[in-house]
Amino acid sequence: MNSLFRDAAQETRPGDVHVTSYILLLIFGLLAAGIITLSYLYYHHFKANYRKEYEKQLSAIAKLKVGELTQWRTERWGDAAVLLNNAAFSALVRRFFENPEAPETAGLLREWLEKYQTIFQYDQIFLLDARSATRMTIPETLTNLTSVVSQRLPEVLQSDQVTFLDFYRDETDHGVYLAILVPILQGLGSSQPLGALVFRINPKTYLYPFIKRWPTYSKTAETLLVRREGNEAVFLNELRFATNTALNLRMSLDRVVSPAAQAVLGREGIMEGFDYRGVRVLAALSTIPDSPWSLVARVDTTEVYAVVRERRWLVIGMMVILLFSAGACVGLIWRQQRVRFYRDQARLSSALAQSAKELQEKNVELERFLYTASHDLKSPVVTVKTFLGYLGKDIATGDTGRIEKDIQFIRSATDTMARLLDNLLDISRIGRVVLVSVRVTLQELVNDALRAVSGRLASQGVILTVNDPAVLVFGDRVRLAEIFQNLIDNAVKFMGNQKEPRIEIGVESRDAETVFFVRDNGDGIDPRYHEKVFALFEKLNPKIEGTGMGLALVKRIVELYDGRIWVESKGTGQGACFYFTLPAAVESIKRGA
Amino acid sequence: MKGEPIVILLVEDDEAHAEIVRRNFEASHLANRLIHVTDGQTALDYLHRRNGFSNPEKSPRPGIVLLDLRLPKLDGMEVLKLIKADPSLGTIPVVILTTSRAEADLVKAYDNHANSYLVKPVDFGQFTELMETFGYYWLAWNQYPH
Repeated sequence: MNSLFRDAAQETRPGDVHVTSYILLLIFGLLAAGIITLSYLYYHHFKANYRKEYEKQLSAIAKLKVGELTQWRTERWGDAAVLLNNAAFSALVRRFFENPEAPETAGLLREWLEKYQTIFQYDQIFLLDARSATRMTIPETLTNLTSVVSQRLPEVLQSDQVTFLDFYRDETDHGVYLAILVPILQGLGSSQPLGALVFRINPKTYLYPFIKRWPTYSKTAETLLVRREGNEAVFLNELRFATNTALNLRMSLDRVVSPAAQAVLGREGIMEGFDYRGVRVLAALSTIPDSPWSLVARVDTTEVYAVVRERRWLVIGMMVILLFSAGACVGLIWRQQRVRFYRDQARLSSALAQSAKELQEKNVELERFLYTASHDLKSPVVTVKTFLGYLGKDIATGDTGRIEKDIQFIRSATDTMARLLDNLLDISRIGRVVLVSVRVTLQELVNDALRAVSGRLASQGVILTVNDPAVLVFGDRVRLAEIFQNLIDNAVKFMGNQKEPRIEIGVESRDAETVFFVRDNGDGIDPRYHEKVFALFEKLNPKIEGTGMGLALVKRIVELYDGRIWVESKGTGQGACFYFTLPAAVESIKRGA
Repeated sequence: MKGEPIVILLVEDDEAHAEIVRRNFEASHLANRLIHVTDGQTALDYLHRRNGFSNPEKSPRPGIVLLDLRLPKLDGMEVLKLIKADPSLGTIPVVILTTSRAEADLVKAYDNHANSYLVKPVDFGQFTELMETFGYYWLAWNQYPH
């Protein structure tokens, strides 16, 4: 009992639980902060990295396009350059101009130019004379030269250089074209112009599709080609999200957030801004060398960040899961702590209740003890005082017979008192005196017990046998012997008129429990009194000497060794058997102590 | 005092105390009316005329019971309870004669319809005086139902 109480008290003190709760809350806080910080850092790192990668990709695409456009322009220059200062071609043209009807010359010239037209995919080739009159067109359709071209012709004829006419609108068919103007000179040493060639390029054939092409799958990405006109950026190509934009769509250069405007201002590299639709875009800007063009490769930021957004939700999801897990873990630990706390509390309170109950029982026992002790001690005092009074009177009257009797009563009463006090002292010592435990056999204990009672045993002719003399117990030899001494004494006292009095001592095994017994064939005990016999000061027969404390003493010793004691008897005249267990004295032997 | 002399049943386990009571009654010439038993169970056996007490000549019905409280086998308080609960015995006055002065005992005894409660005095003269007074009161003055 006491050890249980102590254990429970050691496990948890009430304050501990609150401390643990705060610590757990702190741990959860730290975990949560860590998880959130890590998630945030990871997300930002990912976002920055992803954007960097995207910028690289965008730059690479822009660079590729710029390279190809430059290449394309160089090729076009090359085409024209072949015919510039070409003596053979000049001669052919001169012959054709001199005699347009000559089928051989015209055929040769047409064949030559047709090859150019088909191989290099020119929309139309015009051959003009020095007066700017169209002398031949390939293919052979009656198309008038647009005024944009005509206006430039005198200048071209005077020069000896190829002129690149940038995107322009043809006022007759409203189409957008480019043109390469090549002067045809008289011949070697003469700078006199003979005529000119106009290579008209329809950008829809190759240029626009090429610009439009994007090397990866994208929902919003596109390339813009722009050039500067005054304070405006002019879009030169057809766009993905708007129609009829070439040469129509213009953007003021004051609009600094526009990538197109920034590009024509000569800015290169990556920028974030708003495009012609007013949508936020990420753009790579580049100028195209030896041209009025600037290129913008752009993509909507929503597309760029689609993956990042997706990742953000993933990270948030993971974060929430981690937070939940951490919370669940901490919560579980907390709950376990609470459960332990309440279990300990319950154990503590039940231990407390138990000890309170035991205390109360002890109190009742003590009260009863005091009551009976005072009563039983008072009785002989009454006897002594009264018979002392009688003694005085009887001495006065000289009644010798009564004197004798008076003295006898006084003596007997004082003997009772002495015995009572001895036993009381004995009982009060049990459990208070430190016991010296030794290994001792049943036979040795019985021998010790017989030293005190052998005289009476012999005088009544009682035969005593020990069945299992070698059984070992571990305990206080004096106290254990007292058990047997009192039980043997008891058996002899209540032997009654038995002619062959016998006492049998031994050990039985009941339900894996070692049970000791002291059996007699004497008076026996009425089943009504089987409980009462162990109570303090209880005597069943007032005529038999004793204080009513012997069995109470035995019971206390047995309980000291965690044992029980009980009596079995079929009734008066049937003999009695006292059984008792001594777990504490037997278990240590079993364990090999 | 008229009719049959009153029989006193003394229930007392202490031989010495019984002797004191007997000597006092002898002095008052009442000893022949005293019947002494030593435990509660025997007292009930006597009152119910069983276990060797069946002869009404030898075991007359007592007019009054002098009962000690601490008794072997059956406690005095139990004996009192059983007497008072029994319709055939309930009218017999029961006088408790004990060493106990405990309040709990007093209350319990009166609760169980004890007719009187006497504490054995330690002093010799007082014990004798008590017995004399008892004789006067219960045997001379007290009226009993028939």
